[in-house]
Amino acid sequence: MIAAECLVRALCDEGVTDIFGYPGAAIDPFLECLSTSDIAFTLMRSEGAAGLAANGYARTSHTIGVTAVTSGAGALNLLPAIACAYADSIPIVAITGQVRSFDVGTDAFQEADITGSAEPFVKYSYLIKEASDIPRIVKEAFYLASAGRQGPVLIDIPVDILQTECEYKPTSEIKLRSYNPTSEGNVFQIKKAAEIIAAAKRPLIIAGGGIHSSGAVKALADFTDFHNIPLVTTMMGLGIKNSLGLNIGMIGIHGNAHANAAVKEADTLILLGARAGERSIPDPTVTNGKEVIHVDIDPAEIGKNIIPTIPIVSDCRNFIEKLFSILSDKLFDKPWITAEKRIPQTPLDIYFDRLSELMKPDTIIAADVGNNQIAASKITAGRFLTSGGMGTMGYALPAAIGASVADRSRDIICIAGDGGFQMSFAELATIREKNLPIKIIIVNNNALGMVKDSAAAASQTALMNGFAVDMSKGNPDFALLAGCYSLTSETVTDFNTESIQKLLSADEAYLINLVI
Amino acid sequence: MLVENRFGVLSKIAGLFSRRGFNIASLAVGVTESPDVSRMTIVTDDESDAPERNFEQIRKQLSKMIDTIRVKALSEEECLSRELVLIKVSGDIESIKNTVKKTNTRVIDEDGEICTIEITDTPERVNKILSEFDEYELLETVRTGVISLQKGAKTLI
Repeated sequence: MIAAECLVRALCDEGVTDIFGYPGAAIDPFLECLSTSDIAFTLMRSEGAAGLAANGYARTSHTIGVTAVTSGAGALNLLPAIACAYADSIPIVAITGQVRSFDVGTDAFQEADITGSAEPFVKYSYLIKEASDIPRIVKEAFYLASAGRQGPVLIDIPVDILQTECEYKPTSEIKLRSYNPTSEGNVFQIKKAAEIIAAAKRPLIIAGGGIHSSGAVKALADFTDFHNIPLVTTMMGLGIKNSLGLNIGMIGIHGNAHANAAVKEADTLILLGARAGERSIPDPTVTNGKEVIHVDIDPAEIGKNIIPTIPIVSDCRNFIEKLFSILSDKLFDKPWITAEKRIPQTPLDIYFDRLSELMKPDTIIAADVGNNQIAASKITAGRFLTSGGMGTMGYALPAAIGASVADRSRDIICIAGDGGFQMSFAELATIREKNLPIKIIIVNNNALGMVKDSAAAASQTALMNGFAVDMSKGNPDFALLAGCYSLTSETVTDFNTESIQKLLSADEAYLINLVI
Repeated sequence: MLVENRFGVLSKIAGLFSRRGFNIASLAVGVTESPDVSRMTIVTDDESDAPERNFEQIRKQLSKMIDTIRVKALSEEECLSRELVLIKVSGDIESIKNTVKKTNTRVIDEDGEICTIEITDTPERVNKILSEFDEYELLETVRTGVISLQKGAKTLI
């Protein structure tokens, strides 16, 4: 057996069923072995897209997304996807081929120091030096990607090592004396938090991405429903269901005014898996004079952007369950604030409201970056996938592919602007090849809309007037472009909602070029 | 701090300081009594408005690194610190030797009018001693950076 086969075996032992990637000399021995394994390989049209597909896959399957690409430029193409997973705490394992071990450091063809380059954006990285280390390193990598605060782990493996003869000796034990993340909060602190919540008049939960990564969506809905405690979410926390109008909406500079007002009016803030980044809480002084209970699995997030009165290092689900067992008597007969019915401001809002009504509740929305993302964030149903921290343009289409590979039974809708879509439209080929029934809406304003809007706010007159943001002279006919890949498509210029019905009822992929 | 003695750890830690905007005033690293554990003594100074909060943040970020075994923040008063400095000076040999005697340092090499001197002391005293040699032509200096242990019975683990 060669080491490449050991690597495949180790991945199978971790329960991996899908890998997204791109070939190249340094990774090919691995792909050759992969071809005869039970792991399905999705050939993406760029390495970066493979990394983003692994992201969408991980978030949909609640497992670890895996990507495998070659050395040099191939590996470097992964960097934005690795950084994107790091910023949003998404568990992925990236496997990169490397030049032969004796060529490392000689500026060999397609050599790049990928462990060094990726260092600021990975939870951990490995450069494999001995084939016999493969089972241990794979085991550790999967553990590290998913334990504590989730994130990307990189495994770089020289091609000569992949070809070394070796025996597969699986490891069951992980010995990492230096890594012991806390997932159960301090009982005393949780009791104190319960007392503060019980004494509060206007408690408000700020729910972030940690609710999804800890699988606490239901626990949170049960807790808030029972106690009538309202909640707001960050963009990463979108998609938390609440039937009673207790979810006031998204906060932050792109959030709704009512939700932001709730943060101001609350006397007690309970941050759950939310890092209180500057786009969510632009003014940290908003917490002054309030009780602030900050629950996060990463101690480094607590006290970084805002100063809590009660810091709790815990997995969100653990915390909510423990808190609920202490607070077993109903706290409020009615919530102190409820959601306001949002009045759609634009024809696009009306269009997306209609989409919200018509789509299945378990639909996955993969939104890109920009105004399209903000408009899509108003879609109240479904699971919302986006690049929240890094703002990786071109995210939506490959992430939708990852989501679709992870779960063919759910509807997947990709929403992207004409700018972001063009950063990854080559993935239409992957959709065609794999017959993935992904629904795509291009919100096409022939411009980089969000840049244009911020330019207006900053009085950058050249950009306001189209400099560096006008896409109209180069944009393709997107419906025709989809046609080139034999995908069904239409251009919609009047926001007609029949197009939504056609999109949702299509059995195969469907693209709407929504000209706004 | 104590870290796993692994390939790339030093660059990870140095990189963390630079990308979080922290200045490393001195960094000394060496293996401990366990060959698989390295000990780093890092001296950092912060002139920002919120040094304590910043410091707490860097401590947490260091603790979060997978290879970190233990991080402890120590003030100058809590530690016994030493720094080793070698200087190469040129001048009147008798006069240099007098200064060496006065400062309780050591000549470790001599070549005509050029002496190499070893100075080991607290960082503060090292600077004072160095100023005693100002009258000679200073050809070269090398400093190890500060190494520290806690006072009394306390240890890092």
